[in-house]
Amino acid sequence: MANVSNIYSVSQITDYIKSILTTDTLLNDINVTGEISNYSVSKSGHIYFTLKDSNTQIPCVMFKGKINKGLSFDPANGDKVTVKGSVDVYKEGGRYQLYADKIERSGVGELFRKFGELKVKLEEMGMFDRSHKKPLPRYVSTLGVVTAPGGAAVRDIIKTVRRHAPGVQIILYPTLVQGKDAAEGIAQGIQALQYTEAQVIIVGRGGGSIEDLWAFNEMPVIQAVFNSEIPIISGVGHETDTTLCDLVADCIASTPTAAAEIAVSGTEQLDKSIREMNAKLDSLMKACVREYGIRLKEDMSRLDLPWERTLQRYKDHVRDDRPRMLLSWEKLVSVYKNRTGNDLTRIGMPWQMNLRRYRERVNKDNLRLSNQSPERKVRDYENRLAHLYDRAEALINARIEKEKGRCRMDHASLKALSPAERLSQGYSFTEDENGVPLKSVGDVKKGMAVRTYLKGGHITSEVMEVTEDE
Amino acid sequence: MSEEAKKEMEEKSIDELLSEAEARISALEGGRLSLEAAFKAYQEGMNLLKASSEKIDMVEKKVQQLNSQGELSPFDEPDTEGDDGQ
Repeated sequence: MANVSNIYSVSQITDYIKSILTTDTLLNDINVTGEISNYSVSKSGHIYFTLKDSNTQIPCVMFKGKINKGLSFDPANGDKVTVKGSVDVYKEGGRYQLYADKIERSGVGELFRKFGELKVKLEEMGMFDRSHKKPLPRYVSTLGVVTAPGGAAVRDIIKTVRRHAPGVQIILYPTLVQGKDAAEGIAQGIQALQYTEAQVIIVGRGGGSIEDLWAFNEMPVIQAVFNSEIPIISGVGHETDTTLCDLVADCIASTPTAAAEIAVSGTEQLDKSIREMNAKLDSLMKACVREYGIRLKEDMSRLDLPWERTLQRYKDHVRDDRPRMLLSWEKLVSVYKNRTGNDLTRIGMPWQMNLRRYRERVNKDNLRLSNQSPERKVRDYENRLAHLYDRAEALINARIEKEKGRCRMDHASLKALSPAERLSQGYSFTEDENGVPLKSVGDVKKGMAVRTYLKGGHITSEVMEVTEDE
Repeated sequence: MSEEAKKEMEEKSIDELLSEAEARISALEGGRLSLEAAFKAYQEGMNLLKASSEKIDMVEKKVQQLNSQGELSPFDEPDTEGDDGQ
């Protein structure tokens, strides 16, 4: 039977073991390398796996809270990894395990170190200097592409170019982008494209781990990119991945798709601005034509207006003049009537004819006027009208004068016919006592008293003898 | 457009063509052109844009494949309806 004082509970011994393990400085911060097996993620989000080598294994756990900072890849069974963490006891399970703070693929640390060294070296050589960066051409008609022929990168690039600038000719140099021959292949592609029409070259591949992307950190690629006469856009990996190829290239794109967009954006923009300018030219020309149309219409209406006004004035003139002419005509007629009572139609006829002719003339002129062009014609016609008017006035006045003359003449001959006038020429007029005119010798008897009128007065005498003509 | 004018345009860069077209547009925008000059500017502008457009030529091109000997051959395109991967 054992000594009672030497007996411990399970908890006691477990606590004791735990205290030994946790106070050991080596076990508290240790890097363990091995292969992942039994990998699983619990519902609560913690990661469990077993790290093993050929003979042994150790259970590992990475708590959810550590994953974000400590795990940058998706682990799988069989992955060779280095786990950084501490060894502790899992009391409930009665076993010790490795509590992981960080899980890295084996060999990655070495690559990062190399990357860092190379970066510094190239930077010192000035290979990343802005002064070596060639500007991308605004307009690209041929685009060189160096990538894997079957990868997503080539699909994305073709798709993007087709969408934005389908007219851009793509020349693909198919090459491996991963593995030991990749760097040489990529470098050859860049060199081969120098002799083509390509104005820009995209070097790229899809995302991956640092080992996957490693070819883009190797000297052959870096040198080929640096020496390229043609501007190079590096579109390697996803947004967060940076390679030395990116740094030495003329332009960095976060993905192959972005690289393609950058390469053809100018071409797309040009196409757009051509279309915009086209539309602008069209609308400007239309506006111009419209404006001239408006001006033309305005000019025409401005032309029409004075013309119509003149025509109206002319018409008014004619209308106003007619009563005036008729008035003077009526005046003349009344004078004539008063003086002589002579035949009116004889005088009226030619005047009416004149008036008709005048009217016809006016109508004819009116027609000719409206057939012809404005301003000067209007003035001409106004002159002619004034002239006509003057002529008409002169004619009528002359007529009036003439008629007046005739009136005077008629008056004189009328006067000559009056009996009193005859008397002055030696003729006389005889009547009986009762004033009955004696028209023939038969009216007179011997011894009859008669009154004879002579110029200056009359005489009364007695008939002494009556002798009849034989 | 005459043959010489056409040839002259072909020799110009797309930027030259576009800036000349822009000049015609600015002249039209100025609104000081006579109708004849406006028509001329329009005609020339359109020809310039046509020439630029021909240079860009948005007709879809087949992808060519280049080998290390510098020889070109048609590239058998993979299905472009995929999404990101390797």
